[in-house]
Amino acid sequence: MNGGLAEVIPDEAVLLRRIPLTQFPAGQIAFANFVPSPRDTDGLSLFLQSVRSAESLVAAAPRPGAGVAAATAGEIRRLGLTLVFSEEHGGPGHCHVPEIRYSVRNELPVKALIAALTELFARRIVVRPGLPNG
Amino acid sequence: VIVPVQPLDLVEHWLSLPGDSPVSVASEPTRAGVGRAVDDRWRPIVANLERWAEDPEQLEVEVGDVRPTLGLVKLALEIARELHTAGGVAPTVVSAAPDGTITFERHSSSFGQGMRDWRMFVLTLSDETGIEGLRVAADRTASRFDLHFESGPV
Repeated sequence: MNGGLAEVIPDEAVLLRRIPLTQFPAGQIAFANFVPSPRDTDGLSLFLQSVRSAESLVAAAPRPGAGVAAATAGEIRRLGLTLVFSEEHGGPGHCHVPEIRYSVRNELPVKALIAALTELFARRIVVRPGLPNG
Repeated sequence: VIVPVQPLDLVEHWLSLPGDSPVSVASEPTRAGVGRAVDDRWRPIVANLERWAEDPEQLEVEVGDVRPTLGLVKLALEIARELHTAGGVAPTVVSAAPDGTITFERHSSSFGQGMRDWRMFVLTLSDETGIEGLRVAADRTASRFDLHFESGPV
């Protein structure tokens, strides 16, 4: 699969982003949660909710306390971003945002996009990051 | 002729940021030695950074992510203590990013509400690039600048 399939992700499709528990206060969504990691060479990872549920993303997290935030494909595209299917890299439902990849993370326009994406996903927190006992 | 821009003083810059959160009134000595209101929301932030500094393994990172170095955690702790003492408004959130940096973020109250006037300030501590300030607004205007931090007597 490649970028050609980006067009088949309908605008109303919901994309999920797993939020590891690396922040405090724990329940907040942070800019840092959308900074690409060294493994994000192709772009920032998201998952199609129709294929991967929020619960399955939390269950698959390497550490407890992970959360999940959501936005639609249309909302993401309105920020000027692209969605690319990449199930061969990240498993079922995996997509990535090529504009936000590790090698360009320190460029100012990319940082502005990361901020805008953070604000977008902060509107819809499906599972707040945090541990049950706080 | 390109005149190099001097890094801004981190504490002075943080204190100049607009704050939209109430600050509790408790007079404590500041860097200048004058009593000033302090924000008690710094206390759990400082406590968490102290825990990270004692045991960096507590930092929950995903597979493939870079854990911040102990030196960077200690710098974050020092900055948090200094900003607290100086009377700065506490950040909305402090986080370790997956590229090994640490961020102190201030979000406007309109952030995450789907409104057109949100603002964000991100202070990034990095072993690679030093201390950087970033301002971003809803209209995508963005600016960044180098910041200088020198700890004072606490």
